[in-house]
Amino acid sequence: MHTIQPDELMAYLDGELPAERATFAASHLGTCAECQRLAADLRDLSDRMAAWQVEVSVLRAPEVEQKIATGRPWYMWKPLWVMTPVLLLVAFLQFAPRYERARVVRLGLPTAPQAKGRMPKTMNSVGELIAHSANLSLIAGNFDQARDAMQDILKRHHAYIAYLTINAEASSTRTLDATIRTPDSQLDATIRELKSLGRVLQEGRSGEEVTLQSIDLDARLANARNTEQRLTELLKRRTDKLSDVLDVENQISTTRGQIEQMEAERKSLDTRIQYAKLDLRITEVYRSPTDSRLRNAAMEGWRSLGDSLIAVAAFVLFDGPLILLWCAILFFPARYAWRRFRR
Amino acid sequence: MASDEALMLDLRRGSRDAFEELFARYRDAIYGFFRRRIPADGRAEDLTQETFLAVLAAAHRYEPRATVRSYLFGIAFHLLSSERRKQEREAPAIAEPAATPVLDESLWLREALSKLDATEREMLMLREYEQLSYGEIAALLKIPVNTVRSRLFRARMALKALLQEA
Repeated sequence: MHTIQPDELMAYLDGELPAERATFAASHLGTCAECQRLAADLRDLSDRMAAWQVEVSVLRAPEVEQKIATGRPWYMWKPLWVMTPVLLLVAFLQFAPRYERARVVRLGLPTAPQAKGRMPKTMNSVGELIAHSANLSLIAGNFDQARDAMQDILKRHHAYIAYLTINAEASSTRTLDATIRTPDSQLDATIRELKSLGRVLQEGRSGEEVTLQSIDLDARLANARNTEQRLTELLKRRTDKLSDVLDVENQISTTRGQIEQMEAERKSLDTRIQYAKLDLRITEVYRSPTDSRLRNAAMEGWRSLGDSLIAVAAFVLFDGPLILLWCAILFFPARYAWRRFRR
Repeated sequence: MASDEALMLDLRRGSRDAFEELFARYRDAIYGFFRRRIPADGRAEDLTQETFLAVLAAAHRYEPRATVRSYLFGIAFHLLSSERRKQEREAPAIAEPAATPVLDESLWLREALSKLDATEREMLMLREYEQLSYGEIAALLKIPVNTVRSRLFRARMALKALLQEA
């Protein structure tokens, strides 16, 4: 009975068995006539193969050293082959931004640097009064931490909360809506720090010019004060009948009311100019159930795939003809070089 | 006598004597490797030279992870694969293994070898002529060691049958 497989016996003859198994194979081979025949066949086969001898090489070491000493021609220089794809990649990256710029121009969209221009401050260089406002919507992973950090940021920039509400309904994400007043000079810095609280969903800036409104208000206020002063003087000097005196007092009272209203407007306008308005919304990250998350991920994946395909198609349509031209120009030299020098 | 690995490490440090010693030890083995597999006259010599050129060029990157023998045959096998691809493009009909113009008593053997499956023939030749271990053959051909053993046995049995028919 064979307790050793034929290929195991071959491995034993090749010296490829572990010591323990080799001892066993040797002992089996001593007693099994069939395995002895197989071993003889295998040895015979090796002997017959050994009959195929080849002539001895006449190559000498100095010849090899000489060859490497003279160096390889430029086309055998390996870094060249490595650099070629890199250069092609750089060329590709050169195409991509150009495509993006062209697309933006066609769509009439502002390019990034234009959109990032700073808004003028309280009074700009031509003496305009600007009331700045901004809005920022964030999504934060840790809602409580973001809220605390927001308070710290506002404190640092001498800003204050004009309005704040937190929506924290059960089984829903929490949302913080706040209207913040921040010194106009601190608006940029405040927004910059607030943006670090989470992922920005939306950001907007606007500036309303209130120069004329301010001048008009000052003029009306000055007129009203003058009117009040004249009426007061008139009241002191006149000794007409009582009904006229009452009319003047009513007029003074009306004027006083208008002055107070305009002073309130003046104060409000000053506040708008000196303190920029920032509407802030912080939304907690929605932790949906696993199945919803998987479904959403799948939908996002499909959407991303679609977007990528559209982007690739747009790239091909935009730069394809130029790439094809270059491929046509470079194809034959490249193929010749590849076939000639490939090793 | 210095081991192959010690010589390679010396070569990495730029020793010319180490290279000459390694060359002397492996020149005929590498030449035989190509000569039995490449039909074109003179190409075996060129490829042997290129193998040692590659060793010289890459000596500074050598790490003694495997035996020098398997390292050298790894380079040679890579060059052989490139050469075969090149030959297939230029003359697809060339049969293998190579026919040597002398020693015709091996004619039957070469014919029988040419009828084997290409991978099994390569395994058998690496084992018989280059004396590579099963592990080294497995690493070179990127297949499991157990597969090497079973297919090597099958190749030997097939060759035996072919030689008996002849």
